[in-house]
Amino acid sequence: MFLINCPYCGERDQSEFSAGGEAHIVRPKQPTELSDDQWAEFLFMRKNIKGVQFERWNHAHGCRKWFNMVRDTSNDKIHAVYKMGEKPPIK
Amino acid sequence: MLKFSTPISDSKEYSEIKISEVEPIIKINLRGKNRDFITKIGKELSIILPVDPNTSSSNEKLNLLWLSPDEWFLYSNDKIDLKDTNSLEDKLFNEISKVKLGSVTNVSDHWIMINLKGTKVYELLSAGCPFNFNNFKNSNGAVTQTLLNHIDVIIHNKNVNDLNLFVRRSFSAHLWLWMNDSARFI
Amino acid sequence: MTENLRTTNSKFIDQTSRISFKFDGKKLYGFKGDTLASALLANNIHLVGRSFKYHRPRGIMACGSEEPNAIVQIGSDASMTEPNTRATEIELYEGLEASSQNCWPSVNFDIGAVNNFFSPLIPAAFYYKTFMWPANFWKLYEYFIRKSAGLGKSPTEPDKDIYDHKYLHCDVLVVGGGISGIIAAKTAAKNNFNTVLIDDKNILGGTTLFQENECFKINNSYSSEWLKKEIETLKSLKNLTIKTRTSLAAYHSYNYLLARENLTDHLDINEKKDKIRQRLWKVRAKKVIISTGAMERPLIFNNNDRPGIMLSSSIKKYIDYYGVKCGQRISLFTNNDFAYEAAISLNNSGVIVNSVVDIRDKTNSLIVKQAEKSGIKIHWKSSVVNTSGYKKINSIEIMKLSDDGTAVVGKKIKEECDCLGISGGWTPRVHLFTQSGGKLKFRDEDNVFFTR
Repeated sequence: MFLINCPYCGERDQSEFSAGGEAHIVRPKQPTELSDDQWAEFLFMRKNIKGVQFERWNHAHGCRKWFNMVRDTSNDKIHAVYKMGEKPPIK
Repeated sequence: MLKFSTPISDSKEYSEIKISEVEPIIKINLRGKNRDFITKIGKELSIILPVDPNTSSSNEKLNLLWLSPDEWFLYSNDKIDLKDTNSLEDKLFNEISKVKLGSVTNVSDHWIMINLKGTKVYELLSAGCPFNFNNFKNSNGAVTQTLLNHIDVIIHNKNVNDLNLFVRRSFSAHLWLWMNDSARFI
Repeated sequence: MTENLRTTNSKFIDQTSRISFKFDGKKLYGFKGDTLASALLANNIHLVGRSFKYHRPRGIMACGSEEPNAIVQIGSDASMTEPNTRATEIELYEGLEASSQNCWPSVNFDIGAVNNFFSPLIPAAFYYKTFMWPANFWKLYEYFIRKSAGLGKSPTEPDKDIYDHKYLHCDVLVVGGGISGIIAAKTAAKNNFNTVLIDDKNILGGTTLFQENECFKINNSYSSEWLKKEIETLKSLKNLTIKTRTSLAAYHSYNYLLARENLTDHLDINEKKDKIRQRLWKVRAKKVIISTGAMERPLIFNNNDRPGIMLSSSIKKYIDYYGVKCGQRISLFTNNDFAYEAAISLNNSGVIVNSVVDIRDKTNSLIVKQAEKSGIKIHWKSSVVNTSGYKKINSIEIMKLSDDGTAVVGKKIKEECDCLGISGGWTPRVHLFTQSGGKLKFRDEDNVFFTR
C-alpha cells in the first residue's frame, strides 16, 4: 500500500486514490483522418514497462484532482508527483 | 424548494464519545477559480475563503471548508428553517452563478452532518480511516476528505475533540450503524 | 512426577495460582504464566504430535514462534476450534483444551506410524503415481487420502468471536521487545518521536529478562536486573506506546505493516465473553526498527527428530523463566558457547548435566571455564552420531571427530539421557527485513545471512 503525496492535499494512503494509466498520451488532433489501426493504437496500446513510468492518478476520495506521478514499476518507488499540465520533473 | 429528510435523526452516547446527527442545516458547494470569485465570496459571507489546503475559516454563523483548489464547502452552525436557506442560496446564486464568477450548488440534502464529541473520537475514526490524525488532532479548523469504513467523508475539526463529519445521505444510515457498532468497543 | 520437574525459583510463574487444562482428554495442571508447552513439559509430556508422512513421534523443540513440532489443535467446539497453533505460543488459561494432530487413534498409539516401516516403499510422489489407476478406483482412494491429508481439523461452523481492526500512525515502530528493541524505543521516544514498541510475548524483555549469569553483567549487575530497570523507565515515557501479545505479520511497501494483537486468548473462558478477541493493526510508520533478535539452529545427526531433543536456548528458557526441567539427566550437543549457558543454568537448578558434546577442539571463553569449574563434563572434538528411544530419547551415541573433522573415529560412547539440548549457532530473524525488499549477504565469521 503506497503512501502518495497528493500535490494538493499532502501525504495520503493509497486507498484514497485511483490509478488512471499511462500519462502524456497526446490525443490526435484530427481523429477522423486516422485509420482504425491508428485510432486503436491511441486508444488501447500502452507501454506497460518495467522501470520508471509516467502515470496519471486521481485523488478520488480526497480533492478529486488528477495529477501525474513518476513511479518505478519494478520496486514501486515514487520518484515524483506533479500537477496536470506541468512538465515532468525528471526524464 | 428543498425537502429535508434524514435517515438517522438520532443521538447516541458511549463511554467518552457522543455521536449525534445535526440537521437541518444549510450546506452549499462553491466552485470558482479566479480572484474575483474569491473576493466576492469574502464580501458576501464576511468570511475569508481559505486557500491553504486542508484548512477552514469560520464566523459565528458559517463555516467555509477547503475541499480542493477550486472547490469549497459552506455550512451553517445552527439549525435553520427553509426560508433562510433559500435566502442565502439566492444571494450567492445572484452574485456568483448569474454573473458567471463560479458555481453555487445547494447540497443541504445531499450531505448529512454528524457531530462527534469526546476524548475518544479519534479512536473511533482510526477504526476505519486510513488518514493520519496525529497533526489534524491538534489544529483547530483542520479539514480533511478521506474514507471512513470505505465511505467518502469530509471531516472538520471544529474544536478539541469536537468534530463535524459529513457523509452522503445514501451512505449515512450505513455509516451510522458502523459508528455505533465500533463505538461499543472503544 | 509433576513436582520434581518444577523448580521453585521462577519469578515469572505464579505457583500459587494453579490452572487446570486438558491435553488429549487428560486433565493436567499448570501455573499462571505458563505456556501450554511449558505446562506439558512440567507434566513430563514431550510427545505432542506426529510427523506428516511417516507419523514419527514429535516432541516440543523450542519455546516460541520458531517451534516446528508442537503444533496442536485448541478447543473442541465446532465453531471455536483452532488447528495448527503452536503450543509454545499459547498462554495457559483455566479450561484450555488442546489435542495432538495427525494421529489416530491417539498420539501414543498411532496406526499411521506403519508408514515409517514401509518408508523404503513410499518414495517421493508415491501417492501421485500409485493412485492414478485404475481410474474408477479414485472414489475409494479419495476417502483414505483425504483422511490422512492435512494436519488439524478446521472449524465447521462460523466463528462466534468478535474481531477488530484499527489504523495506527507513528514516527517509529520498533518490532521486538528484547534488549535492543527496548533501548531503541527508549532512544526514539526520548527524542520526541511518537514511538510504538510491539512484542509477541506477554511481557517485554526477550531472553535478557532471565539472564543471570556472571559472564553477562551490565554495569556490574545481572543483565536481567539492569533490563528490568530499563523497562520501568520505558513505562514513564510519554511518546511511547507498548503493545505486548502483538505479532507483526506483514511488512508492505512504504512502511505499511500489519500486526495482530491478541486481546483475550490468554483469559479464562468466562472472562473472554463479549470482548474483542484479536485486533488487526494497520500501521503506517515513518521509520521501522526491526529488533527481532535471532533463533537457535539445530544440529544434524542421525535420528535428531526424537521427542526430548530440544534447542539448548529453549531448555534454558524453560528452566530459568518457566522453572521447568525438560529432563532429569540432560546432555548437550553444540558447536558454540551458548549450550554452556544452558548447562550452567541446569546445573544451578539441580538437574544432572551428563556432558556437553562440543565439536570444537577447545575454547577459552569465560562461560566454558565457568562450566568446567562447576564440574560439567565436556567431550571436546566429538559429535553425537545417533540417538535411541522411540517416543522419547533415552540415550545418545558419541564419537570422536577425526583431525580434519570430516569423519568420526574411535569407539562409540553410549550415554543415557532423557533430554538432549542442541545448539548449532544462531540465525538472525531477518524475515521482516527481506519481506520489505531488503537483501541479504552471507557473513563468513559467524555463518549467517545478514543485512547487506
